Amino acid sequence: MTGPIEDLIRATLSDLAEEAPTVQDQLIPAERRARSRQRTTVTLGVAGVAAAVLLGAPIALAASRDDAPPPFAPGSTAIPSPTLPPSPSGPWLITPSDTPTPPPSPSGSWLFTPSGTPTPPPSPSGSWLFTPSGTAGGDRAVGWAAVQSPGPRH
Amino acid sequence: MDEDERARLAEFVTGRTPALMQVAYLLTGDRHAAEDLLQSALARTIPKWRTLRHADPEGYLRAVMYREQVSLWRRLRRRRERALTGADEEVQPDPSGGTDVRLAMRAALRRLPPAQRTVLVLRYYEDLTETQVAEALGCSVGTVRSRTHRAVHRLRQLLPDVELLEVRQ
Repeated sequence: MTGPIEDLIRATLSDLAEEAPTVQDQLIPAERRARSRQRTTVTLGVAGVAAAVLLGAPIALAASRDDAPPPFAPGSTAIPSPTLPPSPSGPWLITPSDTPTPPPSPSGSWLFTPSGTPTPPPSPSGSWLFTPSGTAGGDRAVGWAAVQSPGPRH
Repeated sequence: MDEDERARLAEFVTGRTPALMQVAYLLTGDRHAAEDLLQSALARTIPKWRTLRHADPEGYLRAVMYREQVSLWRRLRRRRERALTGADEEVQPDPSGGTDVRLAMRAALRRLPPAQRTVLVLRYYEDLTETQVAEALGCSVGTVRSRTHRAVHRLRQLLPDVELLEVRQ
């Protein structure tokens, strides 16, 4: 494949090569460049390692603390909620944040005074005391009364 | 690097600089760019001089020059410099006669992209085969063929007088 254009390309390239400029000592600037390249490479390497450590350290710390399972992870056994004692006759002390649950007595009715629903006391130190309000022919409680227990007196 | 090795390196650079500068000038088409290309290739070769000394340092240096010329980073830098300086303006071929075809060809060669010009230099100045060019540039033989074809096609477009030359023959 040597057509006229290929011959012309060869001739022109040879002419151009003859006209190439002559340069003197290229070693010293090349050595300077090589040192600069080396310095840049080292600097970039150190910067890269520092960046990797800065990014990786928090991730590694977070990963190392993941050994304990999360409290409500799917498949884990739930912690049973505390149940009230089955004895219907004993007085129950319920703090304002608790929710009263009915006692296991099937025939007993709930009596909340004065409005039916216990309301939290105005003072944060107060608590509600649920006591059986009466008996019907025996020891069975027929009603419950919520009485605010006295708070600490000063 | 000890004194003996440095002396050998200096001897190599001094002895081979003219030939290497010719290739660099053909690859770049510009004196300053050629000097820059040669120094850049030397800067990459010097750290490996100990291992290259007994092998083929000139072959390595030439391969570095070829690849550096077509590298992406160099292309980006060249584009930035061109935008800053406004150099490499178009040279119009002189249509006065057949002797000006070579001058027009020089201008057309300058207007080729670096990859195509490099392939032409390796094929038609260094007289390398397509396989050798592919090895030197680190690409496939098909890439070398297509680049050569595109370069010649582009030269034909830039030099319509060459078509007349072919018709006359």
